[in-house]
Amino acid sequence: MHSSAANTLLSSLVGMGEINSNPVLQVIDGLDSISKEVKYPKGLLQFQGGDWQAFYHCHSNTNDIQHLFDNEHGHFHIFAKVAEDKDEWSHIVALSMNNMGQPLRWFMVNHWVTAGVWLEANLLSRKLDGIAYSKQDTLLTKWLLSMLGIYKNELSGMLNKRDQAIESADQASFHQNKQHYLLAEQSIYLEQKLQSIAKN
Amino acid sequence: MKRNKVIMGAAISLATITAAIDHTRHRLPEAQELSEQINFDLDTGFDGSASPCSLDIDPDIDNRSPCSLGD
Repeated sequence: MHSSAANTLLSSLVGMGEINSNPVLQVIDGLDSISKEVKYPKGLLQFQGGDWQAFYHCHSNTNDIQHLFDNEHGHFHIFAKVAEDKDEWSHIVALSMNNMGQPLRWFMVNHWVTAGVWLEANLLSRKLDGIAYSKQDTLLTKWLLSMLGIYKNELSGMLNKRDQAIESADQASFHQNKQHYLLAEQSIYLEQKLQSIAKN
Repeated sequence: MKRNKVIMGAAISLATITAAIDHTRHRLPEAQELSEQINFDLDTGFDGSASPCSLDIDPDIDNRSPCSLGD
């Protein structure tokens, strides 16, 4: 899985490089000017046969969680469909990007931040296991999916950490407590990550 | 597609990885505050065709989920 995801990631990077682009330039579709708090693309990004959605945005007020947004341009929020026959979504992870369009860190947030359906770590990890690449994928969706693929183990660990944070809080209202925004995070060193996969 | 095969068919070199990443480094446009953008548009001849209210910040912004799938 790692090797396949790494190859998909590399091919999407090469494809974007050939057109002087990157994941954020892809999602804003060449706009010269973008606004904070607006979700890009319009209508959101749908992929994996409509089973996944994502959007990119930049925040205005980062006072409470400033450290999370240091050096950040904006971030992707990635959601998975809860069940085939339901239009219900669960947030899996956010992916922070710097102002050169490069990934900075993964992070997971409390329920009040993203709303939707809250799924436990093991159910979300299964969603990550089910990722498949198809010819319908664009450079951007290939990049997003393969990023999830190469970091699947780390993301599963973060999901467990997220759930442990909630369990240890021992408060029924924790999910909606705005004092708690960030539940798990991990820095991304993409070049080193790909190099480690290539060596193995 | 052809390029994909080239990558997958060969051992991935460290130089390939570095080059692929480097070629995607492009400065992004800085995100503007919505209110600043309204002022800018007004200063430069906002044509009135788009309602300023459509850019209005949700008065309930502090109570909604800032990163939900909704608009």
